[in-house]
Amino acid sequence: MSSGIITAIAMLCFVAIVVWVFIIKGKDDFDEQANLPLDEEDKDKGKEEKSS
Amino acid sequence: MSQTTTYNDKVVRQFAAMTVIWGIVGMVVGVFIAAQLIWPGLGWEIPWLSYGRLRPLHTNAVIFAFGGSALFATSYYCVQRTSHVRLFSDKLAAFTFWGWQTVIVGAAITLPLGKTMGKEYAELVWPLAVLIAVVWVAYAIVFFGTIVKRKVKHIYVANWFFGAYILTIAVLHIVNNLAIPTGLWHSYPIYSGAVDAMVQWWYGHNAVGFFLTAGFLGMMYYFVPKQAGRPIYSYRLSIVHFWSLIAIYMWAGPHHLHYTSVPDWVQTLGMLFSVMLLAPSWGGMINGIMTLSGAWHKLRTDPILRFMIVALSFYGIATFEGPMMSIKTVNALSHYTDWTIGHVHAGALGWVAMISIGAIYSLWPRLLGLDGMYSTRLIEWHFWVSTIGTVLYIVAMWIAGVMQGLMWRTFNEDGTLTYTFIEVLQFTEPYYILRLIGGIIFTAGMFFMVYNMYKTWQMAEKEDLEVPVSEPAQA
Repeated sequence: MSSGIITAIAMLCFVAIVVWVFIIKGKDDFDEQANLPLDEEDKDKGKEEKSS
Repeated sequence: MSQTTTYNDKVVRQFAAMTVIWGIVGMVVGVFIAAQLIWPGLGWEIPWLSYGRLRPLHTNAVIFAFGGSALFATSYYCVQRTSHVRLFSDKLAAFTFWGWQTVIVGAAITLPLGKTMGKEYAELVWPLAVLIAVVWVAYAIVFFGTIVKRKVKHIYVANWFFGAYILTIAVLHIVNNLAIPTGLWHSYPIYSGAVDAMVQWWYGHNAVGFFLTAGFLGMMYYFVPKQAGRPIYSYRLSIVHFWSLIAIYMWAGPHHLHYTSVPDWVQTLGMLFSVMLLAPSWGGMINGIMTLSGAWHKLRTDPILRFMIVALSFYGIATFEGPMMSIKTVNALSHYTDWTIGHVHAGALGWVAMISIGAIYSLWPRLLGLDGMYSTRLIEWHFWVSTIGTVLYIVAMWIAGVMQGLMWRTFNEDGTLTYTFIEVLQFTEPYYILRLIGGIIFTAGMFFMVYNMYKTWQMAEKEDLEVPVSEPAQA
């Protein structure tokens, strides 16, 4: 019984994360985060091509 | 420039250089013990050179000295560049470098002397285990301290993976090493019997899951986009990847203890979680590889990127193989055979070593203010040598392992074994030779790398380049 409840809670957590990430959160926010490794150009070189 | 306006790249350079040095040491020891399995006389009956003492030296050197140094270097680099601040404390960062090197040298002395706690991947005697714990806490303070003082709103996904790896390894290491010392070199674990075995493999498999996977996924999430010059394929997928991976990995350990005295339901639980792991593992692999979607041509000209993408492919192979081997009926065949060794090296050479090599090639010129490595051609050579070495190694061990499993469980009609142990061993020998050749080829590539890195270092105008910290981000 208790193991069934824990499994259900774990499943709910997973669904909640998916809903939060794919539906609730905005895309702009993620685009900004995704570009974090790229907006750092190491100044003196700036050879990285910036995407988006 | 003042201390707060530049990045601390000194500690990154130190760890990056030691990555290659320890990689060579660990792999040469690996080659030696692979040869010992073919020619048992190697070692000339010198106790320090016996297989039982050198094997933990090999595993510790490649995992913790080579892999560990690579993780220190890349995590320190990534957390500074994506947080737009200098490392939290220069002194503590320097302590983690010298402390970690002390642990490694300590391991290289005590293991051949036969001083061991006897736990796989946690062999080091208690004084060294204590030092690891202290260094690791310092590492956590430096890393999370840097995150806390970041000038960027978000914490980049690579830092989530690095953070999970640092935190989990602290917990795993301390819990698994709890012991009562009885002398400077000797101690008794506080656990016994099946509980000890479960704690050991909870530790052991999470060392795979968090040290060798989460840590190197952090490396992947920073260096693949960086080298490809484009953001990760799906940031959303990376978040789902992170939470499902860390939630599931924790429970997979019992698959190391199938058909033992560990309760049957625990074995089944370990098997189920291992099978579930396929989903987040492949999600992460797809996310990394698809980052190149629309820019596949870069693979033709950039061997560094090729290192990373092939590493992800081997990660995919190993994380398909792993769940399959954890299924009890498959495990009944594969366990205690060389198939396991092949599986480990698909992950260790193919994934961990190749993603580290790619990341270090990407990192090294940046640390010296250069546009690229001394020789791209040598990287190209290194790439092919690594790939061929890995494939030879794992194919040899697959064949050897499956045949061992089949021969060991073949019975005659009267219930006796069809094959004697020595017959199986004789069958295995050619595959051991093939494995040795694969290992030698892979190790040779590391010598190309160290030469290339030395020549690149000579090209640098300044040895202690100081890179100014980026402006606080737009966020």
